[in-house]
Amino acid sequence: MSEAVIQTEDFTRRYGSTVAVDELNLTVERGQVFGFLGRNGAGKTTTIKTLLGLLRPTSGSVRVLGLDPVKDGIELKKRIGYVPETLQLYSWMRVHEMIRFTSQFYDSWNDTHVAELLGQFGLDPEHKVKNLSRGMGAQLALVLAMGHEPELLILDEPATGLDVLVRRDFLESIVRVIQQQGRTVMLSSHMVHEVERVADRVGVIEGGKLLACEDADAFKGRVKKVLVRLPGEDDAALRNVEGVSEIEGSGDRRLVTIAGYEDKHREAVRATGAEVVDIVDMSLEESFIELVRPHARRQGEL
Amino acid sequence: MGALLWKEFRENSYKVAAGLGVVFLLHLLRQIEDFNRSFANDINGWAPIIAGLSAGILGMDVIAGERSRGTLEFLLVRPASLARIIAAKFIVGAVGLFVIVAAFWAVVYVTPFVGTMSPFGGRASVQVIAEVPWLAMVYAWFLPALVVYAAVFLASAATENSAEAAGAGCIIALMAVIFLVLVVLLYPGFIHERSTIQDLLTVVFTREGDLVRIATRGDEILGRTLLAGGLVTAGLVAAWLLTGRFREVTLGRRQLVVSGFFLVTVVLTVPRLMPDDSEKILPVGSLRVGDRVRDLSLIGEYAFLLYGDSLSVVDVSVPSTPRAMQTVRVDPVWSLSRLALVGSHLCAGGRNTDTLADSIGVVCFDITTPSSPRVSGSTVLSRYYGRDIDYGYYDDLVRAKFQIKALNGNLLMPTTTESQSQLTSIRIDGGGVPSEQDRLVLETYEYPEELWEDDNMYSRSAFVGRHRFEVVPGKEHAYLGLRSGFSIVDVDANGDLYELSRTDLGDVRQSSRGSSRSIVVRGDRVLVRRLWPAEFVEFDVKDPQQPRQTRNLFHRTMEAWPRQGGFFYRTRGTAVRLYDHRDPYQRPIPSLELALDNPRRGLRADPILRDGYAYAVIDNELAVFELPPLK
Repeated sequence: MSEAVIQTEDFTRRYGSTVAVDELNLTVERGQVFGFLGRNGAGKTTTIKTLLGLLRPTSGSVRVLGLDPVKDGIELKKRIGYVPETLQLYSWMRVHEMIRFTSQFYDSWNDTHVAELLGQFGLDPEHKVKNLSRGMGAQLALVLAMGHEPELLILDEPATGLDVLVRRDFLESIVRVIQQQGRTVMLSSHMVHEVERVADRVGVIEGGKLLACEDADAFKGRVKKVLVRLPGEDDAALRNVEGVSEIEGSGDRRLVTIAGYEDKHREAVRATGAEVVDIVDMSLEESFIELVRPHARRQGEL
Repeated sequence: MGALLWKEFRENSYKVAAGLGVVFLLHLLRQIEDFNRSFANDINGWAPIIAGLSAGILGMDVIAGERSRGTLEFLLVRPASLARIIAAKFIVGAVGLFVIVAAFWAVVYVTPFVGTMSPFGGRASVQVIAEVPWLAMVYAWFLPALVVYAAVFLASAATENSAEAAGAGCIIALMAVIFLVLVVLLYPGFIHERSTIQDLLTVVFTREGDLVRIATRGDEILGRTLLAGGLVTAGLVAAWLLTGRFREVTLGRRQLVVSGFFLVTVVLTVPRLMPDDSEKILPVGSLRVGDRVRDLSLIGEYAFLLYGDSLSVVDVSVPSTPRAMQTVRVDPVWSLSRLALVGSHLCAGGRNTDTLADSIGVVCFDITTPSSPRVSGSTVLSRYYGRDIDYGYYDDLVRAKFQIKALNGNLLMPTTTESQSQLTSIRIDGGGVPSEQDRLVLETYEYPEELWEDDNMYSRSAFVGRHRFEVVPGKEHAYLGLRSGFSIVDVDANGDLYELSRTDLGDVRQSSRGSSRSIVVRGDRVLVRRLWPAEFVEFDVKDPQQPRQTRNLFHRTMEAWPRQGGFFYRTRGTAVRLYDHRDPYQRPIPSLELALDNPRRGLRADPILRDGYAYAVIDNELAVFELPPLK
């Protein structure tokens, strides 16, 4: 079994009476690219800030790279790179000043690597930070997070607020950076398709609770749509099948969405008298939606 | 740390530059003579404005600004301890503040002041500059500014943006003031014995005499440095906690507005709502005596009340029922104001309007039979002594505050003119007839002629008040608190005056503000007030010809408070507040207060505390109080 880079046990965080994260048990292993999915307000940022030691857990334990983020904060921060949701750069600095300023916090700063990245992204060191476009700003933030060659890179909703084109470009940068071996990456997002491109493991958080945490492929396979032909026009029997979250269609054809699909579901559908015409794999995004939908319904949001 | 300092320096340098710009502008303006002349009076207004504004501007943005721009998190995820981040921010601001304060004082010191420097009045600030080295002055101002800066810094750590930080800074300052007031209220002795808290602020409310002491004495500098250091450390620790552990705790506009209103309400209402915790001692007896009483004397079982042209006797042998006895009227040309007892004669000094110009004199009463006094004689003092002057003698004396004291069978009165301080002795013969005996010129004053021409700021007679001196009779000698120092004067039985010794306190140039030099006699010790730097100097006067300086005391020391019958006391409005001098905190023992429904006026004369009773004329009553026993 490989080493856990991030490990939380019953991690709970409250803001006053609001529970932001509720008994979260999360494990990310070395070398994984972990996609941390959740809607806005699901508890992603709270979790990440706790991993960085910016917030304290209300209860439970959080360990990152085997360290306590609060107690061993400084040691830990030497080994983590962080790209925040919103740009936090000193606008009055030039790019090279920003880099120099950041570099002085670290012993392991790699100037050649940084120069390489700057070249790749086409960032001019003489540019003033305030004159950078959003995309370039985000790329600079990424360079700054990578300069000390961190073991763990945490990206909290990167590329929020970028337009589609720039976003695509920025994601490419992330992919390039991630491809370097041995690096653990945690990428949080509510944009599921972004995560799909890069993540090899996926965790879904909703209402502060972890709904799922598994390999990306397995996660995609969790939800399937089954196309069936009914003997009549009544689909009542189908609705009773365990795991069915949605039934679409009319006449004698129905598209049945089943969460946590296994072979037994096929048998269960057959047992209702319906004929299984086709079984369709879902994208990560659809899987995510299916997983989160019941919770959103419960909260009256849908 | 280097990177952090560099960044903070780059972010704050423009503020320091702006401050230096203002200072430089002042420097240029001072090259204009008129501006320079008025600047001499305004230094003490400029200094707190420059220091306070710089402290506020440097402090308010420092953390709140990063919060509002979102860059605070950038710093917090770096592997640097929060303490370092905070320290770097604080250091850069503190250094910037120091630079601005130093530059301001450099501008003050570099260009000399021009024009006529009067020995008196608002130019004391110029004298301070002559006596306090530049760096000491900078430091004296830097300390309170640093404390303000720390308060704003703390406010900045608790708020989301600079404007809120400024508001929170004001609230923190208000809270600090309330806190200090509470300390002072809870420990009344505190402020009188421990000067540092007050001195930290004193700079801002400049009294030059204090400033010299604060800025130049090693122990004072150390005390204030420690206090400021303590406050700054507390502020930094709080800022550190607010930025780290309690990062979510921020004050929003709403909390600020609400707490601001709350505090102001507290400040305005609580002192009014607060019950006066002092136990009121009600008079055991009182007598209506009218509101024109000018002085009170207690001899045996009789109280003597002096009015402008009469003396009343009240029998106080039964404290619960003071009984009015007789009233003796004198010629209404007299306007008497103070009493002194010589043997069996009670003499009253005051003004006599019978002469062409008002003059002063003495009326004596024979009180061999205290219940029915009679006038035994009177005298009008020769108009003046020494230099010829053209205008009213009495007017000048009023400014000098009338005093009459008894010693060795004689009366002593200061008769001060615009060019001299004199002490006059009046002998009372066996029949109780007073006659002027001797005059001793203590100090003479020469002022340059141009002084009178300079903007008509001074008139000669205005200086009489500044030549005033205190006369305190001891057992054998009289002690005089003069402008230059103090003097011990012997009065023989004939009323001849001899000066035994004169001690110069070396602050003559600055005893300028007209405040008198108070002198307190305690047996063989005298406490003499030094005005510059402010403090009391204690002398051993066992040998009156060679007083020996023993120690220096804080200028508000309770030692120098009036003391009678074992009590220190202070008069406050309509009440006399008593203090037990053996209490280390010198808390008031229950204050003594006349319970009139609505006393319109306060004390008419100094109270007399004797044999377990206190006698005071408050408003229009002579009240007798039973004193609480000392614990």
